[in-house]
Amino acid sequence: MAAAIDAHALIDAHYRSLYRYAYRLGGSAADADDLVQETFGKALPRLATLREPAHAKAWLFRILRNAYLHRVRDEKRNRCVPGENLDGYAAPEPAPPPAVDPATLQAALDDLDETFRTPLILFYFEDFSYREIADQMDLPIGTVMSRLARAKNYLRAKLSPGNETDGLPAR
Amino acid sequence: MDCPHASLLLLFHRPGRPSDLVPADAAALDAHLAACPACAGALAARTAQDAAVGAAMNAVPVPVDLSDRLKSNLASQLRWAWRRTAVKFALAASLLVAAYGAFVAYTRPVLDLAALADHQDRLWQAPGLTAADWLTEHRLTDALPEAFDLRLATFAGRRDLQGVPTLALRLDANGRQTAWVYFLRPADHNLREIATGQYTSNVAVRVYRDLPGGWTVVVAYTGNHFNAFLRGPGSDA
Repeated sequence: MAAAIDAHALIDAHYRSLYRYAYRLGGSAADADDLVQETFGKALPRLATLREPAHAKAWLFRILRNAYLHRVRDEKRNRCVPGENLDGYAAPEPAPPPAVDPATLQAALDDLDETFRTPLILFYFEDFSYREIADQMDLPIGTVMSRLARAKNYLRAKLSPGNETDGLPAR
Repeated sequence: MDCPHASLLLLFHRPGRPSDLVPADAAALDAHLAACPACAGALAARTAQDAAVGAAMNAVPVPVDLSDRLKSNLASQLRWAWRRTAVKFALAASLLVAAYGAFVAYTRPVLDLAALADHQDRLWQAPGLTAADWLTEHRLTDALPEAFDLRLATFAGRRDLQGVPTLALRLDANGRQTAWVYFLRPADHNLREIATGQYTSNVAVRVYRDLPGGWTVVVAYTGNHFNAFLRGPGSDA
């Protein structure tokens, strides 16, 4: 039988990671704040339906992503890199990693389509397995792996020294 | 395991993170990495790159008051939820009361004056017979504790007795002498303390317990002659 979940404990345990996720998804502190509020606003009244407390984190992340997608559903994201253009970024040779500027990283993420951005964020800063990322996005794990590989190549290329002024790839 | 196979498995290998490799593949990969400097070096470089990007990904300052604001919103949300629930219940209760009122209004019986007159007419014409029929109908014949003269009956039916509709028989004898015979169930009234006696200067009460059918009968009568309500010698009523 599932243990009762305390709402305050749930907030304390997850608000930071949810905020970071929201920030990286949307690229704006104000939007991230709103998204986290909206996420808990939707989740807490339905807390009783969460049977397994261990799944709370994945559940909250899914709610946040859905809230984000709902917000941008009708928004034209002309600056996004379409998925088919990500193939132009070959895997770079292993090299000593440069320090990554968070703002540069965010700019690169902002240019990425959400279907590539979400697995990338989940891969890098939360302890989600590929399987859990696939569950979050309702995708086969192979699709997630493929998108991750392409998005990581893109990201490495964008973050490599000398690529700061690179334009977007031709569509 | 060769290097191309190891490269493939490395896609699933995340040091320090949940892995999607089955234990056998993970063990084989670990063995290959221990023996292959090239693959181990590639993994080390990739891990370092991932660590650098991961550190930057995590470098998001979280507002210090966010937790307090979320909890404050939660309290507000719960208050509103409680109010909404209360309003819903009040609305549901109002609807139920209205529905019950409508049900009662539409299903209450129409007063049948013809039946009323017919009953009274039969009682007037043959009070003894009517009362006897009524007793039979309600299986009270054996519960009658005395040989009452049923020809004196002027009422046989239910009478409100301190809030409970109660089977009752009224007998009217000469000289304004009246007796009410009540048939009582223990479930309707608490009968433990009641006793026979003269309760006012005009009214005496007799209590008969443990009658057939579990009935208790109470007879409240006026006048000094209880025998006035009983059948006389040789009576056949």
